[in-house]
Amino acid sequence: MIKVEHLAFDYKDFKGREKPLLEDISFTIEEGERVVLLGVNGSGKSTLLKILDGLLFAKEGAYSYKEQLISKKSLKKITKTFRKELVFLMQDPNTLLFNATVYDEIAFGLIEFGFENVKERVEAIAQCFGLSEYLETPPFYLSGGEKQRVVLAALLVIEPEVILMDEPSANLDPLTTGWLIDLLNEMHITTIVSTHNLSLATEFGNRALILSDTHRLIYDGDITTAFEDIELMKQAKLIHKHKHKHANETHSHYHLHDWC
Amino acid sequence: MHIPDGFISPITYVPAIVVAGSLLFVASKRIAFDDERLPFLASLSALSFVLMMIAIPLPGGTSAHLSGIALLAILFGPWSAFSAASLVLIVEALFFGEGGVSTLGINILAIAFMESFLGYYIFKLFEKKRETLGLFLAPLVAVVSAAAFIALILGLQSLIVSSSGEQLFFPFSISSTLPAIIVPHLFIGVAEGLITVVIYRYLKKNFGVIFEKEER
Amino acid sequence: MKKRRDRVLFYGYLCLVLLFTSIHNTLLLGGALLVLFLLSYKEFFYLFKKSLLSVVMFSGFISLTYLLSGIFREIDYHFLLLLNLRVFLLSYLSFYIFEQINIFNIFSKRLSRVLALAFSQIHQYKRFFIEFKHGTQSRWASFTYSKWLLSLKSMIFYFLNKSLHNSQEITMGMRSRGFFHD
Repeated sequence: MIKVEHLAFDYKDFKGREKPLLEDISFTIEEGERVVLLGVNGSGKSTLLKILDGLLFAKEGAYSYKEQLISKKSLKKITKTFRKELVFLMQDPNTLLFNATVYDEIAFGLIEFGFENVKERVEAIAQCFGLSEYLETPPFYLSGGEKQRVVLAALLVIEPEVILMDEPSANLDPLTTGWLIDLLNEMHITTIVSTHNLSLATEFGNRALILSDTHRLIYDGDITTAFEDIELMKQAKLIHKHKHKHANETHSHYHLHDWC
Repeated sequence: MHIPDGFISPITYVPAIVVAGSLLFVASKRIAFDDERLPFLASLSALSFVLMMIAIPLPGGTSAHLSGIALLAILFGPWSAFSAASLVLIVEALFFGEGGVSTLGINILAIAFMESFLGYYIFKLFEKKRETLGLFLAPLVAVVSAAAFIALILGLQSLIVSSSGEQLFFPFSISSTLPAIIVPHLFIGVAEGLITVVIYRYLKKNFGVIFEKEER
Repeated sequence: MKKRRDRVLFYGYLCLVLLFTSIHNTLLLGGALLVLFLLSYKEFFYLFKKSLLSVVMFSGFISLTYLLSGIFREIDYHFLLLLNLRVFLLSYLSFYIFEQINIFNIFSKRLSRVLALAFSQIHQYKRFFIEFKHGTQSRWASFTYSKWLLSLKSMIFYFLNKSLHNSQEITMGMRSRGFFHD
């Protein structure tokens, strides 16, 4: 379904110098797979997701979605189907909200992609996401967790085939995070989730893609196997050592920590 | 400084709303308010809002607010700065209840329009030969002129009286409003001029990438 | 639908503003204020306090100066009442109406989107700005202008960078949701 070959991407720093952010990335993702993208901050996870969503375009290499090569030019022809089938929950939910009310926000995609029974669909998903009482409220009046639910409702209401999520747990409390994980388990759509929250990673998927801080893909495979490989996790800088106590005995060993 | 509702007569604020509205319409055509520019404009207005929130601490626990609109105009062009600052004034009036709704036109003309355009063109005048002087004068002249405009509008209200000669709106004449408003704004203008020089230099050194972009 | 109701209320409000700045009869304005109090009886204390706080600085300053100027000229107490009554009435009316309606509803789709985006960004920045202020406050032992200028530099840098970044992110967010037909 998703195929990435030898992808590379540069970014410009404050002074305008070009620096690499992704180097020689290749992988394939089949329909229905649940993939977790791991890596430290600045390793290029967000950028990779943006490339998969056709928001940024790689400097080198190729990305194809359902055998169709995605480039700036080719995307223009298939924008509508692509945007309908593939949705992206960006890191900051504020960046996805731009309508006057929660109702308009959820209805937006339905109208944009020509769905029928807009009103019924909005009301049904609002009910299921616990948003019914907010339908007339402007989305930015809501709290962070509620905003996240509005965005998810707005994205999922159009029945996408793939959902990309950038650090979805960063803006959520534990309860809502649990709710999100249950929701994804029930939905059976292809998911690609980026996170550096290792304790949640295994909940989000069973296959891991790990980016190193040198912006390369250093692992592609089963997520539990990855977590057992201390050398790999050290290389990815996802674990660390610090002194602490166990029953009055101070020592240090490698930890999996959630740095949220 | 935002004028609240009730001090200005309809004969003044209605034309001001019409002029401000027309200028915003021109702006929407000028900088091609197309969909892709909406996020930029929204972010720029948030930046403008923050700049307006900055208060210069003064001895004795008081403070004076900056405007920062001249700096925005220098960095992003006068039309963008004007639109962004206008959006801030609209949001403040409609959502935060700061500044009147009837006086929105006057506030937009003085604060957003005059400060963006005066700031921008004064800087352009000096840019090639004496950049620092231009950076200092642009906000100074912009802030003082906007204050003078508001003083003029307020002062004019004392001329609008009832048939029996009774005062109806803002009661003081131009001869008192001009010095009362301009003198403090001269100090604010000088402070803003100095700060603009420092900030512009700092950004040019550390944030070179924004100076590469074309005029927006 | 709620949109239409909001629009009617808003345009009615604008007409009232025009009316209240055009009539100069204290009895009529006072009567209007009374009616407004009755209409908003549930939120009376909240609205009263909010309106008073919002006008007290400007009105108070002007009224005091006017009273002081009485040393040189005759004071018109009726005018003072008229001015303060009108300013308070308009402020109370505005807050009352803005409580009733969703302002995003009164504009065209496009304009309401600009406003919605601007509002949401401004709202976030306001929070960050206060965080910044607390941040510097908690780290400063004493105030000096050089420290202030230093923090100002980094703060403007931060917000400028954030603005350019957010602008790109929102554009991408909107594109990702199919907003631009490119």
